[in-house]
Amino acid sequence: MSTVNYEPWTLATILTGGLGTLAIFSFLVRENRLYRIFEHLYIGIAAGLGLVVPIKNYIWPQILVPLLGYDVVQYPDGTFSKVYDPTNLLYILPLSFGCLYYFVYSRRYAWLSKLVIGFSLGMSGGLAFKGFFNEIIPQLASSFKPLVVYHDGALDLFRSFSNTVFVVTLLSVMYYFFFSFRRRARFAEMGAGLGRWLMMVCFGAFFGSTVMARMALLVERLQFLLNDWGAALRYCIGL
Amino acid sequence: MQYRAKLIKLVTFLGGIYYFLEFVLPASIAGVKIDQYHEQISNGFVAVGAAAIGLGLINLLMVHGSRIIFRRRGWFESCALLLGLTAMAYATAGEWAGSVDSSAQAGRLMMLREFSDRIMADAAANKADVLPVSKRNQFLYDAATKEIPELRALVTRLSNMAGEDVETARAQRLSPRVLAATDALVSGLEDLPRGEAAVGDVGKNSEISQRLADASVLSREGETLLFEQTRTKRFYEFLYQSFFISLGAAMFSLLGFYIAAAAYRAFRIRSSESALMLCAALLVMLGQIPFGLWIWDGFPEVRVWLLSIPSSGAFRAIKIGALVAGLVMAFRMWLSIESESFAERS
Repeated sequence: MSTVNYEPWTLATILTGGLGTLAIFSFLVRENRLYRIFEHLYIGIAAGLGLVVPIKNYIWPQILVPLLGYDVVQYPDGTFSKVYDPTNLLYILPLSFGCLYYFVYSRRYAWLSKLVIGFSLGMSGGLAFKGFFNEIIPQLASSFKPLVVYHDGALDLFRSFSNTVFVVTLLSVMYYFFFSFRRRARFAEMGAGLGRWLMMVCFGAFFGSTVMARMALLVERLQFLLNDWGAALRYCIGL
Repeated sequence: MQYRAKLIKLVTFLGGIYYFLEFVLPASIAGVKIDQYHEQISNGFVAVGAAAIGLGLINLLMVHGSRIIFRRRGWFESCALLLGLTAMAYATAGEWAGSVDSSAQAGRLMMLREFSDRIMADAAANKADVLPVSKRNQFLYDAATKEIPELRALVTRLSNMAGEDVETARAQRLSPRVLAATDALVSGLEDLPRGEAAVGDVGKNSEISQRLADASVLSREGETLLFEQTRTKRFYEFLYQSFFISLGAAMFSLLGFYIAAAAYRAFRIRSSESALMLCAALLVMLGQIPFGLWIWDGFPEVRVWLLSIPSSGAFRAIKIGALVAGLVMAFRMWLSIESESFAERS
């Protein structure tokens, strides 16, 4: 007889979680209805969460609270924590403009939704420009590491070798993707070939990492099924 | 119709110009701070996108709702999807409302702390358009005294929590701390100079501020603990843990099986490149498992070197190329010079 005492909610969470895990794993045998039901439930739950969380974490505190003046507190003596900033009313403009998205359902006025889609595309263009320089310049600067490293006055062979490999990899892989002119020289062809080989090392290493990450998840699920779910099941049937 | 395309192109350009100028222009020009409204403008930009939040919901309802109404193939699965969506949206909204409700008293106590600080600041600044300190302290006293019964009720509710779990033990530890903070607040309030006859002394206000802050923190902790025991929170946790977390982990771990099959196809040594890929993947995997360590204890270091030197170098080169391409693409979209701009499509 199990000595663990489960609360009803905890028990329901473990049992349902185990059942859902088995339903998802049943896909390994073949596609079946139970798998599809739990798959759709998962999508629905993720969508439900995705619907409320942005409102809770962003739209309400960042836009609606200042717009409605809920961040202005009245103290017991009748004074206010701050004066309402009327520029917050300007938030009505982007909110109203964003509502044009919903004209996508109107055949006659669908072009209005293109205004706001275009605006969002333009905004991502501007952000990409800013993001590119903020991200790429520091990375480029840090990529060109010293090829000969001295540590305490002595040549650090390992770091020198590692830095050389890094720089050679970076340049050869970039050269592999450089298609602006035809590579005729044998040396140029060798450089691109080296880039291809080093890319394979990169892909292999990332593949290995991905396999291990998935395996870690699989092991966690199997542990959950064998330990937590098994114990809860034994508790339910009174073993 | 031509004006519509032009208007769309203009709006697309205006959408990107702010961030472009914000990057290329200095923070202030001729003493005018350009970036002083940056946060509000950024919020405004995101508000435009946030308005689209209902589109996903409408699309899901249209696709799956029609499948259910007309009993098309997969209608039962659609029912499961809409049920999950409704339940989770309801539970998350309930959890949000509940957490706001449970931190209401902590918020009021924090507001009183701010009020006490404001009294001190106004007195130090000799502000003329406010009531005298003694009268304001009377208001502070009255408002803070109203909170005392609720704090005492919290102590009782925490003490009455029954069970053998971690939460109950936490509640039992927290209860005397809340009681002590409440008593300290009461004694501090009694010493507060207030009313018509009192002198305008703010010496006690800093002490009151500290005690109000302590009571607020403990009240929030206690109410949160009690809220975690409610049906609303439990229902949310049930959906989140048993469906969102469990099914998500199961879905991703399922890929572990398929990735093994893919590995077989990818790693069959047909060329020197695939052999190289196999060696790199094997070294990384051996460096991450105890079996690898058992064979040779140098595998973890080889793994770290492989990931941080050649992999990182190659990945950075690919990323630089992708970012340059992304920048060009972004420019083409921003300036509406894409070969087939969506503004021109009917």
